[in-house]
Amino acid sequence: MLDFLKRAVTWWNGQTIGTQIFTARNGEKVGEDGQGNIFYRNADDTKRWVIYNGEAEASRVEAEWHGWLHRTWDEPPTDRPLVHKTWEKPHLPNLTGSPAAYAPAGSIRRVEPAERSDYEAWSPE
Amino acid sequence: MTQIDYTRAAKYFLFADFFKAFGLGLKYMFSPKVTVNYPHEKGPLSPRFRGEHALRRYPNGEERCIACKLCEAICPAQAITIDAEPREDGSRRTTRYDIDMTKCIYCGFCQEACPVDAIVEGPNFEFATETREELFYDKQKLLDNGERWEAAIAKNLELDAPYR
Repeated sequence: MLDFLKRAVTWWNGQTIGTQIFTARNGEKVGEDGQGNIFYRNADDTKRWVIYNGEAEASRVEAEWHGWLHRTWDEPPTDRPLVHKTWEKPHLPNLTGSPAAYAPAGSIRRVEPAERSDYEAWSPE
Repeated sequence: MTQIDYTRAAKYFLFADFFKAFGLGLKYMFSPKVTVNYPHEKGPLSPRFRGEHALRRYPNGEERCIACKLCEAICPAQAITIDAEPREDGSRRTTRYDIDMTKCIYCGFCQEACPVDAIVEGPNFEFATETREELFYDKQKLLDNGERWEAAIAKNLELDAPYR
């Protein structure tokens, strides 16, 4: 019930009711990625879309599906998987605003801020 | 004696402008929509799309960048900073490769200049941040992007290869 209310008044909890109805009427399932996001297209392939498993955050689309969803190429990775190297790492969404966000060297948000060598800290006697 | 424009008067009293605008509104109400349902549906991207930068590696995992500094030299916004030193095994590598993404104008000159296809602009454009400092990318971050987007970057380069 709470889930239904959340989806009725917000757009970022999975999908809105309108999107769900549209997907049920027009969606042909193409595949699913490792995070459980499900990819759909309509009958004449004029629309391609994704229903997120959890938060509807656009940067959660991984490299494997990114090109198909953005119409850069036409074969979905279920037909023609991309070539993967052994050293590749799993996809990360945009982490900004979370504690795991990227912090450059010298940032005070780093776990260990850089040792300063350009001045000597004053210590009271 | 002023002449009365009866055509204009008739249009005025019969709400001609109102019905014309109403008809236009109705026409666009029933025509196919041009908007996309982002973030579920996304706009089309070319294989040449210039998004977030990444430093690539060779298939054996060795980093490609040889610190030739051509990207640093060509960068019109001077967003790239490179320091280099020979590594322990004698090969020339960068010790520092910083891109200030707030300066970058996404012109793609760096990937054009690169002789070893090390610096590329990948397909990702959803890297907006809440703080300015998160856009000061260092070498580790760029290599990390390369490791997460390599499959898509390689496919895009392959698709664009016939036109180069």
